[in-house]
Amino acid sequence: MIRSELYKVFIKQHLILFLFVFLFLNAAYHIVTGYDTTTVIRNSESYYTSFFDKYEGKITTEKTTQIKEEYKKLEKDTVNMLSNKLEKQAFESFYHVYLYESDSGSGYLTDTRGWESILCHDNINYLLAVFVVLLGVMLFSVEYENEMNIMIVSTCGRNRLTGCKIFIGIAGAIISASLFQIVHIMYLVSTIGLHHADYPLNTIEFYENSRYGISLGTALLFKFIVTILGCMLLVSFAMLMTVLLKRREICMVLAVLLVILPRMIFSNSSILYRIPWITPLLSANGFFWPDRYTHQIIDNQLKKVIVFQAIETKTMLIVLSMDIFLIVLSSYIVFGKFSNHRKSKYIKMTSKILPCLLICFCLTGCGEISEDKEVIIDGTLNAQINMTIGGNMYYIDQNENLVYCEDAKNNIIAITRNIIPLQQRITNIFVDAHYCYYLLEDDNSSNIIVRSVDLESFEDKLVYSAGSDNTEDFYGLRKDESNDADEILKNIATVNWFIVTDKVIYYQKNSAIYKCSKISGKQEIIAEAVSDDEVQYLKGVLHYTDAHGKKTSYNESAK
Amino acid sequence: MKILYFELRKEFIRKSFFFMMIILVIINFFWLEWDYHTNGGFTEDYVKVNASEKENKYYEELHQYLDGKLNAEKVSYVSEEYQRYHNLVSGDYSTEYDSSMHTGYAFGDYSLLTVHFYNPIKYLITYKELNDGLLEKAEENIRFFSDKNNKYEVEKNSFILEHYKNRNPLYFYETGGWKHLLSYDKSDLFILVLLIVGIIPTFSKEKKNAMEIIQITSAYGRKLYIPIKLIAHIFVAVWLELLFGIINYVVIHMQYGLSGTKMMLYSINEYRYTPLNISVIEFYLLEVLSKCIGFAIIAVILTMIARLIKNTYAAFIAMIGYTSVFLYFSGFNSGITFVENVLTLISPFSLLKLGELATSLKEIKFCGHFMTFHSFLYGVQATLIVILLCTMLVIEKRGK
Repeated sequence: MIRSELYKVFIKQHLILFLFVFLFLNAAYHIVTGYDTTTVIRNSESYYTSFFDKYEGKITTEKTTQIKEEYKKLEKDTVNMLSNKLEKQAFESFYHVYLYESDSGSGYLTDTRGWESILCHDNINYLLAVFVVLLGVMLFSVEYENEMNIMIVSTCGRNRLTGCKIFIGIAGAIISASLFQIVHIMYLVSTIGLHHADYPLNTIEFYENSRYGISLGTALLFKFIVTILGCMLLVSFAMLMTVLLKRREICMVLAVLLVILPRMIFSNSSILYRIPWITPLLSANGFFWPDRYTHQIIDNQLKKVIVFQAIETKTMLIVLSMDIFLIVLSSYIVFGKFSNHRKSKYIKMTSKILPCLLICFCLTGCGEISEDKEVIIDGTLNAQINMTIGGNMYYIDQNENLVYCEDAKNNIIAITRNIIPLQQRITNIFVDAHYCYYLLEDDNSSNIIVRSVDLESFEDKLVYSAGSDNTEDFYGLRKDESNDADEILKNIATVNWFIVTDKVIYYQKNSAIYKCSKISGKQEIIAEAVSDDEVQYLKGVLHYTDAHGKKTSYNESAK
Repeated sequence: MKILYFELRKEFIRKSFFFMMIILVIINFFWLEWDYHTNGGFTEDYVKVNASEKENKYYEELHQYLDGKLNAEKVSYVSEEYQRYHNLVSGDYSTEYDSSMHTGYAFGDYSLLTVHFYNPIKYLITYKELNDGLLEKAEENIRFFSDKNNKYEVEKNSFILEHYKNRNPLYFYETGGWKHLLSYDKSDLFILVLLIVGIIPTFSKEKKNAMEIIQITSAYGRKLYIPIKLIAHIFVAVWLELLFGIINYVVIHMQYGLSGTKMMLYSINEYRYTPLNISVIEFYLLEVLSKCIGFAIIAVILTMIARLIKNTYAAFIAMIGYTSVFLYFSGFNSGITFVENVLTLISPFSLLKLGELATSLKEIKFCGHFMTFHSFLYGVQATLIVILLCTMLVIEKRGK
C-alpha cells in the first residue's frame, strides 16, 4: 500500500520532479549567496587561511609567542606593496580572532566562517517549506477532488490507508529536510570547510555569551533536528488543512502563509521562539542565540537595550514539546477525519476549533577620446576638481554640487543644469573637445556613475553606472545585511582620477586602477599598488607609476 | 451580467474564499496594530506608545496650538521657544528630572520641539523661497536650451515650471500618520494571496470535470469562455484593493488621527520634490487607483498562467515564481541604467509603488521627448497587456 501511495504522489503528481527542481534551485541559491565573510578577508583570503593553517588548534604558550612575533614582524614591514598590505590586513583579522579566543573565547583557533554561515543566521529555507507544503497537500487532496475518498475509506482499508499517507508525509518531510540541509552543508564543506566540530560553541564570537556549553557539531546537529521537526509540523498542518478544507489551492496558500507571516510580523524578536509554531523551528538557530543588545538614548541617558533575549532551556524544551504534541495531535485529527470515524465527535469538534485557535496565533567627457590624442592627468586626489581646456576652465562648485565653465572673458556658464538636487556628490570632471564628463559618488555605495554633457547641445547622458541596489524587501522577508567597517571605508574613499575613452572608463580609487566597460558594465582591476603620480593615456595605452616609482603601462589591445 | 455573477460564484463567492479573506483582513489589522505599538506614533526619537504621559501631553498641546494655517504668531512662538531651549542646552544644563519641564527633562523638551515642530515648520516656511529658486533655474534653462535646440531639456524644464509653480505650503499638521499610510504595503501581499487562491483552480477544475469542452463548444461559451474569466478576476482584484484601501485608511486614522487631509503632498518633507500638486488625501486615492490598475494587470497575467499550466501545483509554483521575480524587478525603481529602467517598466508591481515613484521627478527620454516615468510606465504596461492578450487569443484559436 505504501508503494502505491508513493507512486500516486511522487510519480503521478510529479512530486519527484518538483523535488529535483527545488534541490537544484537550493544548491544554486547557496552557490550564488556564498558564505559569511568580510570584504577584507575576501580580498586577502589566501593570507587569512594560511595563518589558520599555521596556528590552528588550542592556543598554547608557544603559539602565543609565535603569533606575537609575527605581529611584530608585520608591524615593522614598511614596504608599500599591495601584497604586503593585504597580508597585514589578513593578519589583523586573524589577530582579532586570536585576541577573542584567548580572552573570552574557547581558547581554540579555527576559521569559523563556515560555522557562522550555518549557525549565525535565522533564515528560513523557503524552497524547503514550499516543497513540504506541496507534499502535505498532494497526499490527501487528490482523493477529495475526484471524490474517491468515499470509496477508498471503506471499513476494510481506511485505517491502513490513512496511516500510510501520514507516514509518507512525515517520512517525506524528514527526508526532504535532511536533503536540503545536506546540500547546504556539502557546499560549505567543499568551499570554506566545517573544521573541528568538537570545538566549543563560543569559538564563534557571535556566541561569546551563549549559555550553552555545547560543541559546534552538537549545535549543528540540534539545528538539523529542529529543522526536521519544523518540516514535520508543517507537513502535519498542511495535511490537516487539506482534510478540513478540502481545497488544495487554499491549503497551499494558507500553509505558506503560516510560515511567512510570523516571520514578517515578529522579524528579529525573540518572541518568535517562544511560540510553538512552524517558523521558529524552521529558523532553528534562534533557540540557542545569546542575548543581543543595542544602545539607545532613554531619559537622556545612553542605555544598553536588549533586542533579542536568549531563550531559556526550560522555555525551549516546553516549546519543542508543544511542537511535538501539535504534530501528534494534527496527525491524529487527520487520521480521524480522513478515516471517517463516526465516534470521533471530539475529533470533529477539535478539528474545527483547533485550526481556528492555531490560526489565531498568527499574531515582515560621450564623445570618446580619439586614441591619437594624448591625455595627461594629475593622479593626486582632487586633481580633477577643475580642468582647463581651450582657454575655458571647467570646475566643480562643491557647495552647489554643480559643474561650471568660465571662459577667457570670465563668463560663467553652468554645465550641469539639474533642477532637482543630485543625490550623489560630483567629485571629478574630465573634459575633451566635445564633452564634459562628471563622476558621481555616494557614501553609501562603492559604485560610481559617470555622466556626460555635450558641450554643443548641453545634452546630459548617462555614460556608465555599475548599477543601483535593489530596494525590494519582499514585504519584510528580505533583510539588508549592514556593511562591515571596511566596506563603509571603501565607500567613503574618493576616486583620484578618471578617464573616458571609446569603449572603457579608467579610474583610480585607493591604490588600484579600475577598468569599466561602457558596453557590458563589467568592472575589473588592472593594476594595484599604484602611486598618485601623473597618468598618461595615448593610443590605447595607459601609462602610470607604481608604488616603487617605476613607470608601467597597460595596453588595451594586449588583453 | 448573469454570466459574470456565475463566474464569480465559481471561485470567489464561496464560503472558503470569504473565510480566507476575513482571516487576512484580521491579520492585516493586527499587523497595523503591531507596527503601531512597536514603532508608531512619533518618529525618530520618540515612539508615541512608549512615550511618557508628560511627553504625550506636551506633544498634544503643541499640536493643538500650532495645527492649521501658519501665521506670524505661531511661527514666532516656535522660533522663540526653540531659541530658548537651544540656548539652554548649549550651556550647562541639568540632566536630572525637572518637574518644570514639559517632558520632565530639558533636553527632552528641546528634542521634541525641534524634531516634531521647529524643523517641519521651518521646512514649510522656507519651502517657497527654495522652490522659487528652482523655478528661476528652470526659466533660465528653457532660454538656454532653446538656443541650443535641445528639445528634450526644454520640455523637461517647461514641465518643471508648469508643475512646481505657485507652491506655498503653509498648513502644518502631524505627518507621521500620512507617511505611514502612503508607504504601507503589507496589504498588497494579502491581495496577491487571495488572487492566487481564487485564480489557480479557474481552468484546472473545469478541465478535470470536463466542463471546459462543453463551454468551449457551445455557441455562447466559445466567445466568452476566457474573456469573462478575465473580467471576473479583474473585478475581484479591484474590489480587494478598494476593500484593503478603506481598511488601511480607517485603521491608521484611528491610530494617528489623520488630520489635514487638504494639506498638499509636498508639505511632507519626503515629498519635497514631487511633481504632483495634489493634497495628501488625493494622493492616497491616486495611489489606490494605481494599485487597482496594477492588481488588475497582475490578475490578467495570473489568469494566463493558470490557462497555460493546467496542473494546479505547477501553476502554484509558477505564480509564486512570477510574483517573486517581477517583485524583484520592481525594486530597481530608483535605478538609472537602461537595463534597470526596462526591468522596472515591464514589472506590473511597479504600479503598486506610486508612493516611492512620486517622491521625486523621474523622467524618461522617449524618441527625443520628455515623459514622466510613471506615465510611461502606464503606457508600457497597457501595451504589454494588449500584446499578451492578443498572443493568448492566437494560441487559443490555433488550439481550437
